[in-house]
Amino acid sequence: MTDSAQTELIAKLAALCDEKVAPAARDVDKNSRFPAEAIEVMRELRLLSASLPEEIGGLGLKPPALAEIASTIGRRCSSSAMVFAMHEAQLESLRFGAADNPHFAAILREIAEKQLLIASVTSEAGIGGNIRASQAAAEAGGERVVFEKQSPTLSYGEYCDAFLITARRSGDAQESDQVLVWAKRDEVKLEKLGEWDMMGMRGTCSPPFKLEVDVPAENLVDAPFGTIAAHRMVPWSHLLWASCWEGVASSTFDLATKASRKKARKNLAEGKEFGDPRLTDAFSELQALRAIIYEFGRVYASQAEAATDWTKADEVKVLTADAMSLKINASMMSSSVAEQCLEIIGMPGYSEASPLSVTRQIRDLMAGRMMVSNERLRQTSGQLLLVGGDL
Amino acid sequence: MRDLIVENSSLEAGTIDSDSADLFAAGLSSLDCVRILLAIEDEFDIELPEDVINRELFSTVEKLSAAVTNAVGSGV
Repeated sequence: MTDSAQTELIAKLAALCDEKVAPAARDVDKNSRFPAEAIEVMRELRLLSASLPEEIGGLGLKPPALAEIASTIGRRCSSSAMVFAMHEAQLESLRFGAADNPHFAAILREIAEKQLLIASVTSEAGIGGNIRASQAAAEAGGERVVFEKQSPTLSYGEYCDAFLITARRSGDAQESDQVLVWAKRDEVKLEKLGEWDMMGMRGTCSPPFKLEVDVPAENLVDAPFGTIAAHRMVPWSHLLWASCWEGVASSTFDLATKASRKKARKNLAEGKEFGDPRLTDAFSELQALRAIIYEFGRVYASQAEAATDWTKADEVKVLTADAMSLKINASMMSSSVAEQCLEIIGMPGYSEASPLSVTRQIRDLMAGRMMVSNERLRQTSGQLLLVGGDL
Repeated sequence: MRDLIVENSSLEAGTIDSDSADLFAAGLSSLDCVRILLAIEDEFDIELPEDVINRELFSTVEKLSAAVTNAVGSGV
């Protein structure tokens, strides 16, 4: 896709989101319901195959463009942007891990053609949120692979068209010897084990589920999951999550600007000093956030370009510590920007009903610290940094 | 509009000789633009939409007048 076609796509996305996604955001949050309107917009613009090559029906977009998409949606509805980010990380993990496998080539074409939405089943009850460990084991003895997995949080599991599920390679494999399993919606029996009634990101609809998986043996992705996680799932997720939060924080800044203009008009008319230095502080932090996202996107895009699939993975170093730092910083900075904007706006910002409300954004941004907890990432990264950060 | 611009900027009365004269060439600064914008919004009780607020808007009296007419007309 050319630069001008990309700019046009983002403008079209912004317009459609203004028309359909933003007006629904409050209801999505209030009722903790799935943002179906946003998925419709994504399908209309073929964003569910955004990173796939154009020759198989994708848009061929690179990480910086995907980041812009996540930010653009995030400005209107955080949950919708997170769904895009999570789907895109799955899509790219599958493409990277499947390489030239013809079975998966057909699946990737089908994803593009039908704009299938993919949910991620990485977390598992009993392993404490570490995506690099599984208890469930995919026994590939015969033609079918059958296993059960309990997921404490499965985002949009009830609304997706397919799943990518991590599992141990076999019953006697180590918990970190994992494979990624592709399963269509009708190949998984879902049992909902609880509710999703959370502080923020309520539209991602991520309650616990038990999954009974029954798929053909060829649905096991070739690449070891560890390689996929290091080269795609982790950096792709952190980049797109950070971009989503930047979009959410930007929306609070827009509202703070609006509120400040109102106050400035009054002050100017009364002959007083006008303009709010706090707006400068919020903007400075927002710009710093944008800069770290841009820089990671730029460096990571060239790494991703150098290792287009897992068979070429050894040729480039991974950026795990960089990705983790991005995630930690972005989650804290976006929250901080939104909180500063709340103080600038004052009471209307604190109200759920005011057009200047930033309550939803602040609650949504808190999720950034919780989803893959910053504490866990700091611990892991602190270990990796002892040997240079990237293994 | 000319009076409002003069009152809220560093430009002096008489420097704007026509509605199509380039205000930046006459010495209008970016902080002048901010004051003019706020004064217009206060005076006409409107909010100009983000997408019309750019350097071009402040370049002539007639462009500012047209933006105000549009905003008043659309009830913003």
